[in-house]
Amino acid sequence: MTTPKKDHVYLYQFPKDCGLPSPSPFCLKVEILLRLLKLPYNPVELSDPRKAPKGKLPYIELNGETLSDSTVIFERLQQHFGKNLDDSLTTAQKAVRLSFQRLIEDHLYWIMKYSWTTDEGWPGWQVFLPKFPMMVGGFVKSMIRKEAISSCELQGIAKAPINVIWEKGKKDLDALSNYLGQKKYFFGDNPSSLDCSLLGLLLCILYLPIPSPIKDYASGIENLNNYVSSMMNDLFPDFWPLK
Amino acid sequence: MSDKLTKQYPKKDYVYLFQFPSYQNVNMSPFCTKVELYLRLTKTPFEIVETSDPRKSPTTKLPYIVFDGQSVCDSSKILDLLDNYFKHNLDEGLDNIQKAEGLALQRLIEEHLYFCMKYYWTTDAGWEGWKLFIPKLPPLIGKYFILPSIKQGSKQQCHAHGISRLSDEKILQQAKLDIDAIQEYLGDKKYLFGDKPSTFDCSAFAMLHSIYDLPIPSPLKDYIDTLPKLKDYVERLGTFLNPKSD
Repeated sequence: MTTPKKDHVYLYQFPKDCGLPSPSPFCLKVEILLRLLKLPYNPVELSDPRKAPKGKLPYIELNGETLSDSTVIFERLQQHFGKNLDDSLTTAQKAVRLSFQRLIEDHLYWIMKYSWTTDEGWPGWQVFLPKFPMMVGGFVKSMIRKEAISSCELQGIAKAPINVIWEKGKKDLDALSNYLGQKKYFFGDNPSSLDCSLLGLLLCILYLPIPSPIKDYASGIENLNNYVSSMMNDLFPDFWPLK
Repeated sequence: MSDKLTKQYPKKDYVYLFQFPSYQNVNMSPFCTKVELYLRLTKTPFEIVETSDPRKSPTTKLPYIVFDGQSVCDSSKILDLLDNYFKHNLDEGLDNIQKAEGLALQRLIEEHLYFCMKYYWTTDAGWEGWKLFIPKLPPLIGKYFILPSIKQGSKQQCHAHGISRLSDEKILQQAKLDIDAIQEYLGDKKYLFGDKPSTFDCSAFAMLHSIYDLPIPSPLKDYIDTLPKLKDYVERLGTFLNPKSD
């Protein structure tokens, strides 16, 4: 590998798929930040997260340092490059920002993940999994599905009856839509780190070909769709409209 | 509606609340406290059915209620159902933005701060506190099966959630940010959204009360101790929780 450039971010993430820069809300979250802050970076495609330092994607390398977890990555990038998207928020808005981040990353994300494991969603999700040798492929894929269901159960989301899970997801989407209103970004005219989380997750819900009641519901919410369209036009003209 | 449940729990317009035992009036579970507080705030007629074994619940989670011949699980679903049925409409004074902010805060509390709290339960120091619950559980099974299952289960849940993948320092930092957010929402007000409690206060109180009042040491408990407005808030809402006598 050539010598890494100084002050240049190497973003290790899942490969491009379905026209998206990456089919993962947390990988997208980091790449959206990099583009919003106009930081120099290169995406590095990695299909197998087990090769990542903590077994999860995304991770970054910056000046020889490896960092995992989007929260840690965000802090480091904003500190290193001296640019913080949330500086213009009031203290009250920062509390609201954190709350919505938790709603997106600690709740709605799990509902989306759960929707990948249902009988309705699984055929679509299977297509994304790495290609395994024919003899073991079916077995490995079903283990991956079981592991995902188990983690949804341990986290708690899958313990409620299925119609309750979808109701909760719809409530989350309604709250996001109501708060956003007709604003360009979640908190007004300037982007915040919340826009990175929100855009990342909405792209996956709306554009991964995995059917679910959550995808259907989100597709019908006009202001959320306009928000995605507007941000993608600005930030990812190389990907938008999706091919 | 189930005939069997109606026979066993016959009173109409009356809630049978199945929840974990309490230690010195503090329930083992913040979700049980959340429902109990709602029932007391709204003066809904109810009684507690103390249950140590969550596997008896239709979803193997507590709390659940039996109400007019049907079991209802999930604390938020329970509050929605009762709020509509009895027309308490605790949140009617809130506009759509406030309801959105309230829901987001509830997610912060129940889907993140909750796991931070659980993380500290599984440490050696935290686990000492859990042993105080042993007399409340069935003998032998409580000490040698139920409690170890809770400890192991909590570790697995925290791992699945992702919180325990972070460093200790990061977990504490993130948990304190959560607590700061609750304090910021509250400000100088009596309740999160004004002079009257909302359903979101039930979530906030329940989690803060579990962290602060359960006899389980943690840095989160120490942190709340440094925040007088939050302590007052917890104390104020705590007065609604009476010793079991209903």
